[in-house]
Amino acid sequence: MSSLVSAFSQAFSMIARLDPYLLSVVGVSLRVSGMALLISVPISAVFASLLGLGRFPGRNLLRTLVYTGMGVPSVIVGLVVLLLLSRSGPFGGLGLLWTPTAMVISQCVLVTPLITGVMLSALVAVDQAVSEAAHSLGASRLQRVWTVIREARFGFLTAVLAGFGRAISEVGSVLLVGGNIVFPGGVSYTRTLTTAIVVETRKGRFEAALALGIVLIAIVLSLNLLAGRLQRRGSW
Amino acid sequence: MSVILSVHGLRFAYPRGPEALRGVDLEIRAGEVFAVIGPNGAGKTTLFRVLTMFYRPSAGEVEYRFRTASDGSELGLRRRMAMVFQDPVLLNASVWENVAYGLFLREPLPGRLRVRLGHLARRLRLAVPPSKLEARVERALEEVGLSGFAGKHARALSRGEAQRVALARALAVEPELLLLDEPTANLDPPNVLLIEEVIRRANRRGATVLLASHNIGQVRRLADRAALLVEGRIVESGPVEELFRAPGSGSIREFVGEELLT
Repeated sequence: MSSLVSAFSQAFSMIARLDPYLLSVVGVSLRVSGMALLISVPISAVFASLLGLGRFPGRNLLRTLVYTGMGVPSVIVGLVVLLLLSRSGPFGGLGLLWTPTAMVISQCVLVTPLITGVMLSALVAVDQAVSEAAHSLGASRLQRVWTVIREARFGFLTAVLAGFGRAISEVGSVLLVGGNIVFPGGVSYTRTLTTAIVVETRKGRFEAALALGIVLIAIVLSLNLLAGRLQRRGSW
Repeated sequence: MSVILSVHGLRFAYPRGPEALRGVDLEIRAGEVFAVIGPNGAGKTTLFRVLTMFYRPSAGEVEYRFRTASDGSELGLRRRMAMVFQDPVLLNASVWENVAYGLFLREPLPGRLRVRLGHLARRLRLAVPPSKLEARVERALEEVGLSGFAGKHARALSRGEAQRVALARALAVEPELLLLDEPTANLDPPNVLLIEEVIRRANRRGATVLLASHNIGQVRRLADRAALLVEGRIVESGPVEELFRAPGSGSIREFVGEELLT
């Protein structure tokens, strides 16, 4: 018990004195997951709109594939991206393996089905009558689609949060394609909050692992609080 | 009186379903209140959905002869109509956003931006006069007796208030043809009377009203002419008073009940 208390106190002191190693790890995590989200959210929104509001053959099969993709383990995504980017792989010539770019790619692959799936559920849940009401008030086809998407906006926000939560908290794929690299000066290159927690725990530096864990939870929590506020205001 | 809407041999069947409209003929005159009455499942709602072009008829034709300028395109014609449904369908937004919705659909982007900027400016306590669009929203809300409700969220409304907002939203676009599908079903008497008065005023201002109703009293209070729709066919039609005084067939008698006929 006392070791847990001392781990917590050391963790908070690391956070309080803005430990440079801690800051660089947080920076890599936020940059990689933020970039992955920036790329995957628009793609997911388009996919979800097509799958949710379009009518074409094969739509149900694609929906099933998306829902299946939501649960794919991150190590498997990492493995596939690793094979694609490794020197003998089809994209090996780009030299992207062990770089933050590789991590962004694998997180994109990981979270796009999740974000698409949650957005899709939100779109499907919008009452059919909304679309008819829009039509009856003079909406063009595009305006109707936009109206339904606007009605699903809180679900879209949930999708983005779920995607960010999954991206920033996954270990498997960033470890495989990023390589968990730290520069000699102790500044992270491809080490994220999660992979750092694995390393520090293995080294027995529980206070550092705990400090990283607290920061990770604080980031996810504050984003969720912000989203909750936006939803409660409801005027957007 | 000129004809605003003429319907000939209109048929419609739902996919894998029975035929819901089996050859409907109607002529709606400009400026009148025309009621379509009939039992549940007679096809009233389906007829309205075909008239608003939500469904395409399987046969027959509908001719729209609106007075105001329209490019004759489907969208142009649709924008001269507005419909209110039995169950109010409001957007998950404020009352103001709901009433402004139809106007925003018709407003090009610069106009929409101007309204939003004006809104923002007034929030910052700058003296920016309300735009035409905002004035119309305000008028429509006044019309249905909900002046102070603009900032309320649509979800916080009672059923009667929600239906009045839906009516205000339809009136705001100043439609030539207003389609009302059982607009007062499941509402309490004060709301029914208020909505009927709003319909009367809109009609006096020039809107042609097509009303589907179960409520015979309401049809007598509001409508000039009426048609009885049974199993997808018009079985009888004419001026309301004549129709109820001397029904030509047993159908009206059966639908209305003997005691209501005078």
